[in-house]
Order: sequence, then structure tokens, then C-alpha cells
Amino acid sequence: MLQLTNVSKKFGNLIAVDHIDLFIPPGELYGFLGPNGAGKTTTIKMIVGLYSLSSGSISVDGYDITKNQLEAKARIGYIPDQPFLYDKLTGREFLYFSGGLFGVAKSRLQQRIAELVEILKIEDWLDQRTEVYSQGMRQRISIASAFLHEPALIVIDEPMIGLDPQTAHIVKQFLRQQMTQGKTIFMSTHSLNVAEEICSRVGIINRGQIIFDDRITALQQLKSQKSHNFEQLFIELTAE
Amino acid sequence: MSQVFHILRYKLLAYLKLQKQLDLRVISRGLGVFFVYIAFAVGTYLFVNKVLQYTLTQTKIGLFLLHEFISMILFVYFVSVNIGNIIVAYSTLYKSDEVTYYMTKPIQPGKIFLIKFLDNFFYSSANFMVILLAGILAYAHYFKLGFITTIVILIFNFMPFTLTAGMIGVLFLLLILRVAIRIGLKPVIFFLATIY
Repeated sequence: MLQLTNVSKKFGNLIAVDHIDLFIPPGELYGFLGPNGAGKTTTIKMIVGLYSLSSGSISVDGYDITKNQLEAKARIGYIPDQPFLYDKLTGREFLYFSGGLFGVAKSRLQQRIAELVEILKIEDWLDQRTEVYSQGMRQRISIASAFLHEPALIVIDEPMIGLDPQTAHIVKQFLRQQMTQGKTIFMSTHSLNVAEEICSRVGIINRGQIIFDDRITALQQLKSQKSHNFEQLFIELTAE
Repeated sequence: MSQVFHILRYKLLAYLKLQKQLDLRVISRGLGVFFVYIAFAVGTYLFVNKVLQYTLTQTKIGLFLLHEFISMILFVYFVSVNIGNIIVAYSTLYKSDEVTYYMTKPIQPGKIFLIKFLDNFFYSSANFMVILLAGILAYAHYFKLGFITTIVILIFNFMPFTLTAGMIGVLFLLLILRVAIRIGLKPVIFFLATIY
């Protein structure tokens, strides 16, 4: 599903991502962890086509993000940490706008919006302008818009920023449900608890290199072997 | 092209939506902006009429010199639109969350450029366009060009002329940024300022 082969990214002399290889099959919720400046966001921006690759290749559902950009992007649902919405449009209008960009037929779009509105509990304020939305409301609209075209791969950058506990719970449940339905989810997060709670597999990046990549159960085992909590283990793994 | 129309449709919808609450402040601000634009247009119209009258009947400079003078004015207009677009394009194309959003969607880069160029163009050149439009109407009125001829001039001369100035400005910015990465921004700006 998502395949990164020998991917590197350089900014001048700085190597932000250093020859990483990764394969994430369908039905996996992959938690991508790492300290600040480790290369998480750069990797995400390469996957969604915002940064060009210095070397290597990335393919989404068999489509190379550099050579078959449009086909690859059509299969991605991207949820950035700071959602972009048109302030003067209502949430519903924005969803129609967003679905239309992927060429989703209007009847199908109506059906998808109804489904997502129900799951994400956004009905009450969907017809208000997005300029009055809180961060959590904006995030939920952004999540709904990313799932409208039923993408094979979901890429999420920090999904829980600014969410209250109720909203965070809804989002976590939703992501878990999508994983069980066979979607591939690549999620960057700073929250170790979120990773431990919902991810099926975890990767840790540090100084541009992947230093840990295994099932969440392996990480939990390692944690109990060393009698550490997740935070201590993370600090140990990413120590200078 | 349907994707471009889809985006423009929603952008227009967002643009046309009025303020959430129409209070006195909002209405008076809207009316103020409207009257300033009208005043500029009417002022330009009357001024150009007077200038044409004065130069042709009082000082008798002749049609050849008049049109030389007009071509100089048009050149100044071209450069003004050009520079305006260079400046505005930096924020609308390079520092824009909207562009970042589009770049993650299956949209051809050329379409994104077109959409943002139109944004940029109408944002940076609307005032200039109002002034030149009024000037052209005054010229058409003075020389009794007729309705059809005036429309033809506006559609086939005025619009392409202004769009070309804007488009060259945006393309120029792309070039400036590419060169600036190699030799630094200061020498590029100095070089451009000298040329202009």
C-alpha cells in the first residue's frame, strides 16, 4: 500500500530524512513518532507530494508520487495539523468543495457526507460558517473531508492537537474503525499515549533515520522487559 | 477544466458571501469603498476628457504626439501592474495555505497556477483596472468610437494587455526566486531595481 524505498531529503547540507525504507500494508494504523526535528513532518510532506525527494521513491497503492502524482494523490486523504478551510463557507459547503476536487459524484458525495456527519458527530454546526469553528470543529471537518473520496491511504499529521477529550475519543474510535475496514493510516504524533492506544504498528524516527519499527505489542514487550513506561522507553531510544 | 470551474465556483461563493452580521459599520465601510472606487473612475473619466480636449484643441499637439503620450502612459500602467503582481504573488503563491492545500489534491500544477494567478491578478490590479477602464471610456467618448468598437477594445486589447502584464509579473517572480537561491536576494533586487 504505502512503500518508501531508500527515501532521503536534503535541505542544503542538512539531511532531514536519511535513506528510509518502509512498507505499510492495508489495514495498518502506523504511528510515526520522533522528537522535534527528527524528520516526521518532512517524511509526511514527501508522502503527500508537498516536498520533492532528494533520492529514493514513494509509491501509494502502486503509484509513484513523483511519476504518477495525480493518481497517487487521488488515493491519499491528508489531514494536516493546521486544517485549511474557507472561512466564509459552511462546513457542508466545504465538504462538497473538497469531494468535488476528487471528482466524487454528487449523489455519492451526499451519501458519504451523511455517513461521516453521523460518525464524527458534526451535524449540529455543519451549516455554520467555518470562521466560527473551534480548533476541534475545524479538525473534525478536515478529517471528514479527507475520508470523503474513500482513499486507500490516510496521512495524518498530529491528529489530536487542540481536541477536547470527547472529540479525541470520537477521532480515535473513528481511526480504529477505519483500520479494521482495511484502510492504511500513517499517523505522525507526539502523543505516546495515542500511539500506544490505537496504533497497530509503531515507527520511531530520529535524526532522519528509522531507529525502531515493529508491532505495538513488541514495543509493549520491550517496555515491560525494561520496566519502563512508554515515555522513558521513548527517551532512551531517541537519546543522543 | 471542470476542476478549475469547480474551484472558482466555490471561491466565488466564499467571496460573495456577505459578512455574518450586517451592522452599520459593515454597511458604511462597504458603501465607503464603493464610493471611493466610483470617485476614482469618474475623476479619471473627466480628467482624461479634459486632457484630450486641452491637448488637441488648445495646445494642438496633434494625434501623433497624443498617441505617443498615451503609449507612454500605457507603458507605466504595464510596469505598475507587473510590479504589483510580483509583490502580491509572493504571498498568494509562495506563502499560501490554500496553495499547500491544493498541492495535496489531485490537481495539475498548471491549474493551481491559473487559479492563484487569477486571484493574484484581481487582488493586485483591480484599482489600476478601474482607472484605465475609465480612461479608455473617456477616450472612446471623445473620439466617438461607438459601443461595439469600445467593447472590442476592452475585450481584445485592454484585458489581454493587463493579463499579460500580470502574468509576466508572476513568471518574473518565479525566475527571481530561482536566481535568488543561487546568487542571493540582494543582488537580484538591486539588478531589478536598476532595470525598472
